[in-house]
Amino acid sequence: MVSVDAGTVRRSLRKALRERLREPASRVPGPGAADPSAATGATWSALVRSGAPGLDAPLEAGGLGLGLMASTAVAEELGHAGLDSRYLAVAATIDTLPEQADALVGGLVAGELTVTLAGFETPEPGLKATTAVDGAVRLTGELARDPGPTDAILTPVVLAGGDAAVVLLPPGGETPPARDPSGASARMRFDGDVYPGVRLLRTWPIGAVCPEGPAGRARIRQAAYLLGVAGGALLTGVRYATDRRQFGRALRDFQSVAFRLAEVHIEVEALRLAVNRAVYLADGGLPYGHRAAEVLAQAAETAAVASRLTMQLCGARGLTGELPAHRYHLLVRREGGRLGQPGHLWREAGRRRLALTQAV
Amino acid sequence: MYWYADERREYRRHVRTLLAAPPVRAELAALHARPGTDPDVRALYRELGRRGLLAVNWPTRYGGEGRDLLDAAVAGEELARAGVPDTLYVNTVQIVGLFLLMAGSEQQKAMHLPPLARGERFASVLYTEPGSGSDLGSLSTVAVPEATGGWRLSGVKAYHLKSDLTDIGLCAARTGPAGGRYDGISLFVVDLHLPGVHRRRIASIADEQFHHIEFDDVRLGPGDLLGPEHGGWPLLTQALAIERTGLDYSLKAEAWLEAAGAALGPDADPAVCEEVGRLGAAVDASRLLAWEVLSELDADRLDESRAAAAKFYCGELAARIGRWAPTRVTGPLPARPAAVLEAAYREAPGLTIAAGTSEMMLEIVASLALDGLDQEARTW
Repeated sequence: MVSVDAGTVRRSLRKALRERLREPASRVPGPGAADPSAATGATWSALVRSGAPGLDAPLEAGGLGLGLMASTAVAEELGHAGLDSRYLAVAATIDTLPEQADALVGGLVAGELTVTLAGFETPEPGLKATTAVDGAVRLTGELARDPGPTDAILTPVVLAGGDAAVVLLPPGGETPPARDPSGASARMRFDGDVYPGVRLLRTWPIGAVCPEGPAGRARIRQAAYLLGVAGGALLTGVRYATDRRQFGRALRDFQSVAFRLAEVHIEVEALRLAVNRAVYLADGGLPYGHRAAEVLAQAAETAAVASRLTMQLCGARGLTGELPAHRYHLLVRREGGRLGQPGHLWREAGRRRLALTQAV
Repeated sequence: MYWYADERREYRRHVRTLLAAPPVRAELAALHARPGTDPDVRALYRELGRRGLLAVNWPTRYGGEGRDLLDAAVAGEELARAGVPDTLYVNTVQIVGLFLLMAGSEQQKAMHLPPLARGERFASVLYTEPGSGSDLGSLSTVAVPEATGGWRLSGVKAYHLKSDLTDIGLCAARTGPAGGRYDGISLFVVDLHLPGVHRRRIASIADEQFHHIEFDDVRLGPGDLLGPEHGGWPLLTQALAIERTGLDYSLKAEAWLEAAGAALGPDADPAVCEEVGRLGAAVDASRLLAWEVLSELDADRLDESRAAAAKFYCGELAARIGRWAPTRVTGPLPARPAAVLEAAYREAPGLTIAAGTSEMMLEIVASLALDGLDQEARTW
């Protein structure tokens, strides 16, 4: 990894990205829009123009090797703007690929291929994979995937021996309709046939306690994304509570509102420090698996609390396209459990903590 | 990054070595062997003072070690982890000592600080009164100037800790014209052994008992005024912010969760594991918040909102764990963790009241931070 001052990199990146993402953020549709995915293409274009896909990719793969300090800055800005998380899936896919550069890595770094994560929500993958003599992959089972544009899909599978791995499913298939871009998932069925173009990438630590490597790094990026969601929701709530007047004064001037905003602000700041520490540990080659599990669970819960408060403060308007509040509320549902439910992550981290306490 | 800085690790090791000295261990063992309310910890503190573990960041000419604030925090962490009760340390060193360093005259510093650093004398913080808690501007203790110089102090201070063991008190009193609530407040360093000082205990459910001090026309000298006459309020608010790093509360949370964790073990019920995971991450986050404030103070920056946020988070968390742990850990326990957890439950309610209530902390955060967030939202 390239050694540069993390704070400087993050500040510069966030400033540049914020400018670039302003336009896609303005395109995020409200409820009832004809094209729920209207901002997706513009978001990806803005990221590619910024060189984002290569920031955390290895130098030998044509990336900049800046580590999580860079990719988490991108993730946080995306969450803050309420934009989709495909960037995180691309970064995770690059992490899972073999170290030597190949055409697939090159395509990902260049932004030519977009990816969605699917099937990581539960401890046990829903798909089974077997390989034929010629290396072709047969898939059996069901997979819940995001609606919307047809990206490649990175998903875990159970192998014949019981181990798990991740496979990359090529783009294609139907595009299920949805009422909003983060709407209910669509289901894909696999009946044991050979699926052309499916690529078995590497083993995946399903069931491992507090894994590091690509799984741990993906958790930290997801936590940074949810930190952005929490921060974006909070700012939306503060702004509305400042502008909106009831009973002759701003909502924010009611102590019942001000205290709740202050509490969420404190939670978001605590999360920010925890995410920064996890990034520091991972990029510095120090043990970080337990921090990755913890920050992801903490981020999912903080984002949920922040978006819930903002929806409450924004009243009926928050449910409509008049305000951006709803986009955070909807993202919390999908992204909060994308890489595991908080309860499962807390149990994982708690068991580890108790084992260490006993050892001491 | 402050949390893994090598030089702190080295100093931390040094502190641990000092705490492992037989006289310190003997005093700690004696202390832990006699459970009960309000133990006298002065002998232990004298051992700590001899080893330079109390006034770590004070200048050497005042008996300190001349190190920085972050080293002082490292020492504070290690004292707490060794089981040293922290109230006398916090009041004497972190609050009154800091105040003297910040606003004391050269004569006051030279007189008071060295014996405090050595653990030979101790100090109380005397702000709260029976009718004046969070609203310190309403205090009614008065100091009337004498024609010959000095003051006559009258009034009652209440709900402070360890005041049966202390030698001096940092006392806020009304000295000025009655017009403004805050304009006429002055601060004094009061010798608590003077005639007219009457102390008594107020029983509390916590191990540490409250105290009540009545000043009955106590005669103070001109040199007992700390800072400018009638100008105590700005000093008071500044010192309140500085003392609110949250670190002492974070350390309580850590100790109680660890005691509970050792009793629960890794085979605990999944629901308990989930709670331990959540609380453990919060303990670590509370420490990050506290160290963030300490780092800013060390760089001579004071963000009152951040300090209030740290105190709120750390105090609420410690209180939550203090209530949680004894209800989750059941069955027979070794004497020491059993005593720690039992006492934690009784101490918990005071943690969100002392050093600024949680409501006051939210008031500060709301009044100072939300404007900045609103501006950020409008530039997005």
